[in-house]
Amino acid sequence: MLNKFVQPAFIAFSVMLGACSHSEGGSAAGPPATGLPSAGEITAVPMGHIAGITDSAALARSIPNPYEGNPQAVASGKALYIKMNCAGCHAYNGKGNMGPDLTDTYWRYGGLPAEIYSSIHDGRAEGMPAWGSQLPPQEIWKLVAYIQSLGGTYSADGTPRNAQRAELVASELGSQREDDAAWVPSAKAPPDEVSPAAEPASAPMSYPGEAPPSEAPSSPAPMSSPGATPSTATKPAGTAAVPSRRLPPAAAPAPPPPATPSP
Amino acid sequence: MAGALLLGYGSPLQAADAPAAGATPPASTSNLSGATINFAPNDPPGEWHSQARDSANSRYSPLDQINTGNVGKLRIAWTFSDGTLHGHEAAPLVVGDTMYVVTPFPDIVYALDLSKPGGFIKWTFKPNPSPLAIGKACCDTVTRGIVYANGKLIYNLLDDHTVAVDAKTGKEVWRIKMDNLETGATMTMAPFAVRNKVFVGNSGGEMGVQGWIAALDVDSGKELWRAYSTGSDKRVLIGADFKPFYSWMKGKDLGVSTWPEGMWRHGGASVWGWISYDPGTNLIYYGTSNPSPRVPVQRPGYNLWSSTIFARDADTGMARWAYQTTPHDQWDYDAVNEDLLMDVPIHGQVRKVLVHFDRNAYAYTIDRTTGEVLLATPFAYLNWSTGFDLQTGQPIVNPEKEPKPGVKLDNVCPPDIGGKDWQPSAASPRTGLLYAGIFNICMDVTDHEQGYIASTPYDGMEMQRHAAPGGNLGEFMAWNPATGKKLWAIKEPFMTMSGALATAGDVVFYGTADGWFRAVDARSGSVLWSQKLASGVIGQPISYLGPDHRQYIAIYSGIGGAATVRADKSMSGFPAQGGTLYVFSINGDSVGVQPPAPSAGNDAGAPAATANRGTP
Repeated sequence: MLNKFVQPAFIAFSVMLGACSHSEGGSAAGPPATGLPSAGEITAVPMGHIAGITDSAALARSIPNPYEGNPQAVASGKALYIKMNCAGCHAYNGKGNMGPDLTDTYWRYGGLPAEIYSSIHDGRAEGMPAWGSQLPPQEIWKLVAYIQSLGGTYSADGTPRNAQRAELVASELGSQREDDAAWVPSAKAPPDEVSPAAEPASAPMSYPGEAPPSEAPSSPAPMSSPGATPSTATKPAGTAAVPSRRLPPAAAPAPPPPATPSP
Repeated sequence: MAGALLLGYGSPLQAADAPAAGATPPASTSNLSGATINFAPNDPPGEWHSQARDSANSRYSPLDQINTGNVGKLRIAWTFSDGTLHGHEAAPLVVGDTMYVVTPFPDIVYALDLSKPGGFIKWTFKPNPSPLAIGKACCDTVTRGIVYANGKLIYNLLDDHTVAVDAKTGKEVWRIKMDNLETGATMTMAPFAVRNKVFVGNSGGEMGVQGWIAALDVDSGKELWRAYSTGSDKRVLIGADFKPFYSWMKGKDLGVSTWPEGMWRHGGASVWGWISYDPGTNLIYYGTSNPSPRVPVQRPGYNLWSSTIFARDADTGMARWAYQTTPHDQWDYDAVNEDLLMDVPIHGQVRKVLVHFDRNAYAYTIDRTTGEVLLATPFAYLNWSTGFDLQTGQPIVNPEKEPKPGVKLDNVCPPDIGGKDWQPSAASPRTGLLYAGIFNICMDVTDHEQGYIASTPYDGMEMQRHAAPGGNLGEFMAWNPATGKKLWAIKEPFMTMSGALATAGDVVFYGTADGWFRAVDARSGSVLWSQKLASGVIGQPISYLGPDHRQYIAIYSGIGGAATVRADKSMSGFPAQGGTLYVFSINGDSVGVQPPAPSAGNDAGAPAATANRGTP
């Protein structure tokens, strides 16, 4: 029964992506695909094992979010956070409800950018859906950028985003990190072309109900907007313009992830 | 002693009939409303086989050893930690000499041998439900309890299975998959059983599920009928016998036509509350949840049959009448709260009614044979409605409190969790009153329009809850169902979100979110006894007679569920999680603990208890 709803949803989503490119004058959205971390790089980052604070071995293999700190990417990520119903579980302020708090520096599956990316892409066993089959990698990285902007994450070098937590974490990791020869942050710095400054000046991708790029992303347009309408009165029964999360892997914009890790 | 209490099928227990075996007579025995309760079918007086104990949903215990004169000597007899956290909403059951308790996810059942000292574990049943369910439950990983029927304990797992367990051995008898986690549906409600059928429903009004109620055969788990809450009359089991009282609920396929095209498919209206039963008419009564999405501008129309009370034939499932408490529910008010079946004199005539404290803060006294609203008066602070039209049976909506997308609307009362949530009230046939924990809360709300994405919230309400005028979040009240008036109320700083228990000792019990468990004089509302428990109380108290013929009171402590609202959680004094059952008795005496010698004075409170393990 689910498939019946999925196909139209995916088609609608594909149309949206197409429309998005069109609105940007045909230029590709986001940084060049070659500038994004590869799937192999991402999966090489193991989950943190001290409440999201990753040990030096993990840090050595960690990778930064090319969108970190980019205001446009953060705004785009925030719009996605609302439109993809992330807010329904993690709350509009990110402080958690059905799902965990994203602002408190505690991460069940790690608080490094690549770990957060994996949680979104692959899903997690306690109810987090896997979005990798629906959102292209650059959109997931924008979501990560928004989550990073909430202040509860760790940068790829292990520094907590939340300044108030800095001292505590420093005392937990402390000088041990500085002494660790394997930790070479500069070696993992993003290439220039995917650094935050390299975020294209083009408008953020538009999602259903999302405001036009020139307006505040948190004020969605009315649902009656043509071409951006989730299942409402004008649609055939059961259709949903927003992507359903059960898509055929072959149709996914990104390669299907490996099997979801067990809890 | 138990034998002195005879409650037969179909015999109403009235105030004058109330037994007073071995009890200090209360100061007053007058019935304050004239209301009576038909308890049939009923459990043995000292036992507790279903969450509400009887099919009228009264949560009334006919035991009276503990009364207004001695309840001040209530002490802890024993405690039991079940090894889980999260919201503990279920009442324990007592069948014979065994108590059965169920934990929140992972939904473990323990059988405790009451004939041995201290809650001795007889067996443990671990169903191992899917952890995927954890992230699909809107309001914590709760269960509202078990029902005992024909030698089996039947309850719902969070991952959408109904399971039956042999009450003697703890072995699984059957397990039926009832819904699909991929749609966001979970199951949290306590099944209700009558006539060898068990009735279950789903949760997920925040996830855009299709709500339903189903009847299963107690012995095999075979599904006998299923009625959806939205869609065509065929799906909703509406046929020729369906006679709603009000014209605006009459018509063909209203479960389709009162929605924008196709939206009934994800319209919510889940069935996660309580079910009651009238043996005289063979009808079950229950309510459906809010419509999905919670953003009303996306679904113009009444959105039937969301936020609706249904009367259905227990054997066929066919609807007899329906009544939508909040048409086009814009605030997530649901109609899942309990329906207490009473016989109440109104305007000089005794009417067969159900009494329903809705989340929308109106208390309804409804003719349960026709669905006519006889009384509808506010029991908690509200401003979403300016009055009630008894001609149409509809509340009058205050246009200033209708949410608009993207606009922050301050001070809407009550909030989504209502003037009272699922926490069930109790009623006493001795006083004719109902007793309920209620809320005094408002919300600032901003709606965000939603797209449907399977198994994610189809929700859209951004909220900040805060106390309504007065500053207290909770209240425990006594209610007269014949007049629609509050008799007395006890204000609580924190939410009052436990079930209520009424007893023949004219003592009523309730707990608070900050962990106080209290005994109150059923007539005056005086607090007679209080005990702070380890964590907050959102469970349902019960009373039972032990193998030692002693009356006990039992209650779970373990905060969670919707009680962990942000406004509440941020208050200093909000408790940490827990999961402990408390059992109380006069002086804390219990099985295996020898009472003091007579010369010591049994009532003097002398702590002469001597452990006597092994010879219960």
